Amino acid sequence: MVNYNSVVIISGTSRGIGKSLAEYYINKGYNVYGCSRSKGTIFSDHYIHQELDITDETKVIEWVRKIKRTGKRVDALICNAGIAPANVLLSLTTSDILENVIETNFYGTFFLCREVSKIMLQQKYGRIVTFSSMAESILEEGTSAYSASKSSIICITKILAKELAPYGITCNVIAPSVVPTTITESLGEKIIDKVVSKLSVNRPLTMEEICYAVNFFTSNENSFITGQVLYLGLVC
Amino acid sequence: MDEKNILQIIQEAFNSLLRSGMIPKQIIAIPETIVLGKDSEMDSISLITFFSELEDRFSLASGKEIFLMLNEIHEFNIEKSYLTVSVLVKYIEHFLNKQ
Repeated sequence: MVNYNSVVIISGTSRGIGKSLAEYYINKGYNVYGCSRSKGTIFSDHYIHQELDITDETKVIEWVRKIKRTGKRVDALICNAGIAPANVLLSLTTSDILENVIETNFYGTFFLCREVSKIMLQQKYGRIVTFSSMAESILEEGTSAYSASKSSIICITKILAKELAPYGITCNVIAPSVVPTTITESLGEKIIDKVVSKLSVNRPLTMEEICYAVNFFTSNENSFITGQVLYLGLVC
Repeated sequence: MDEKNILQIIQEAFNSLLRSGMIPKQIIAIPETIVLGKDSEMDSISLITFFSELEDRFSLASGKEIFLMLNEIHEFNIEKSYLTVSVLVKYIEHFLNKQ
């Protein structure tokens, strides 16, 4: 039965994976708090959107406190928001690109995990899922900044998993391969085909497959699996 | 809110930690009590929960949104390697008055 007692926070919900995840969790009976830099694109009584730049530490703190006040609890956090710059060799990567990628992918995930984990510690319950990428494993040329940022997410998630394990909180990582989103489509068919050819399962992932994998980690039953990285479509 | 009220709320937060099993024994909120640093009765996880408890309780009591920032508290505690309840009280008084 759908009862809307559970609360999930998802970052980057205006499009792509984040939007699909938000819709999936609304249908599962969660109250979903989502954020993105742009306006919300989901219209449901069980979805509350916040325009938010997750690299802004103070704004993240304020948003999470507001959720705590209104939602009363947070069952799951899904740190999906991230950016993927165009591939460029490290020798040509500017400090602007580096800063932008590290700030959004690493700082943004860090701030959200830090603030939400405080609520989960008080509850002695929680499920945290962060998003890395198969890029950090394939180590494709031209992805140094992006792959480093996604690798750092695995590192902090595993450490957080150790820190929070005694308190009923699990922390795991999803490392998806290519998913058909507007971001990946903008890369062009040639690049997508090249990446897909490196996968163990030679096709793009579907949104349903991602939602299923994330749900595996956020489910109440998953109390013993923590600090793990789930690579989708790739044998590592 | 005066110093006595603030101390009272800090004590309630300590009591809540004890009830939830976050700390093994009661901590009495007197000015000399060490919150952070050597001789503190709290580990890092109970400290995080203690700060969250304080934020909730002070927000409720004052009707204002309270964010306790460790780096701001440090400005009240220059050149000290530990944090006492008395410094925490001064910081919270300052925070409540500036809003």
